[in-house]
Amino acid sequence: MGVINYPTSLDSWVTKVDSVDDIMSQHINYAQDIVVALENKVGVDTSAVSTSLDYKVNNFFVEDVRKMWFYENAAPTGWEIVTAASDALVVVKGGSSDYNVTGSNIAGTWLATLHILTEAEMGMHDHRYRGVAGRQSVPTGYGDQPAARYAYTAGTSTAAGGGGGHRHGSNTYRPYAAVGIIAKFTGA
Amino acid sequence: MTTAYPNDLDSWSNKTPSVDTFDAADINKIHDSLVALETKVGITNSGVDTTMAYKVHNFFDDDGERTLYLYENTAPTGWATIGVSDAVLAIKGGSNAYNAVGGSLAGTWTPQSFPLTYQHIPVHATSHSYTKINYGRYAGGQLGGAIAWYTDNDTMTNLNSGTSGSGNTHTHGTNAYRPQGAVGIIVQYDGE
Repeated sequence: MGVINYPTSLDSWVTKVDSVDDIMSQHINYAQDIVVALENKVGVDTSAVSTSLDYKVNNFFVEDVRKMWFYENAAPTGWEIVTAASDALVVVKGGSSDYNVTGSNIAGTWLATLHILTEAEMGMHDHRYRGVAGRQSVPTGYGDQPAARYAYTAGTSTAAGGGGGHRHGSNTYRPYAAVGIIAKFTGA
Repeated sequence: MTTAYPNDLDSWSNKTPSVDTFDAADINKIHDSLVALETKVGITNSGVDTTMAYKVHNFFDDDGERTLYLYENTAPTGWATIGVSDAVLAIKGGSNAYNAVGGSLAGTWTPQSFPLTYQHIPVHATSHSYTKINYGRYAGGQLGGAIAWYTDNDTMTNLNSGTSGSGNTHTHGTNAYRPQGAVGIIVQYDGE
C-alpha cells in the first residue's frame, strides 16, 4: 500500500517513462489510495459525512429551500429572486411580538402603532378666560354698611379635546437601510 | 464503467508484489474513478448545474459582486468589508423609499414629524378660579334715617378661553433612535 499525503497535503508524482521505468504494484496501489482519499474528501452523492465537500455544499445549496439576502440588485446564477419578499426589513425571529413567527415569513407592519395621548403626556398649558363681568345690584336694605369681602370661587372648565390617536407618517416611513434582495437557490 | 463512485465509495484491494498481476482493468478502474470525481467536482467555470464547482463558483463570485451580510465582526478570509454602515437591512420593492436599486442605501433615520391637532388632544378640563368681590355701595338715604345699601355682585359670564398653541409638528426622538438589531457587517467576496 502506497503512502499518500492527500488530503493533508498534495501528493507529488514522478512521470513514468516507457521502456525505462517498471510499473510496480505499489504504483497501482498509490493511485488507488489517492482515488480513495479524493472520494472521501469529496464525498458520495448526498453524503452524510459532515467533513465531506458534498455534505457541506449540498446541505447549503438546497434547491427551493436556501434563501438569502444579498446586497445586490439581481439574483446570482443558480438563484432566483423571491418576489413575495419585498419592501421589508430583514429581521431575526424571536421575542414575543410580531417577529415570533416561523422563519421565512413576512411579519410586522409599516403602519406605526396608533398612540392616543393621555392628559399626562400633554405639555403644560393653561386656559385663559375672558370674562365679561355683569354687575347686579341687589338691595340689601337699610342699616349698617355691609362688610366688604373677597370671595374666591373655584370652577372647572368645559372638557375639550378630541382624544383621537395619532401615528407618525402613516405607513410611508422607511428607516435608513442597505437595500438588497432575497433570493432562493434554484440549482440552475 | 467499473467505478461505484459517486453513488458509493470505491473499494480497492492492494496488489502484492510478486503475487498479484495487474492488467488493464486495474488501470481502467482508476481512470473511471478519476473521471467520476472530475465530473462530480466539475471543471473551472463549469456550466453543469449539478457540479460542485458550478454551485460554489457562482456563489463565491470573485468578481467583487457577491455581497452578503454576516453576523460577525470581521470579514472572513477571502472577503472584505465595504463602506456600508449604520443601516438596517431591507428588501427592495414597494412604492416608497425601498423601491430602489438593490445594493444601494435608501431611507432615513430622521423620523417623520407629525402636527398635533385639536382632535389629537386628550379630552381634558382645567380648573380655574376667579375673584368675586362683593362690596357695599351707598345708595342714599334719608336725613336722620337709615341708609340704603346695595350689594353689587360681579358675575362672570361668557367664559371663553383664548386659543393657545401653534400646531407645530413634532417628532419622536431625533435621528438617534435605532431599533434593536443583530449587528453585523456587509462583506464582499474578493477571492483572496
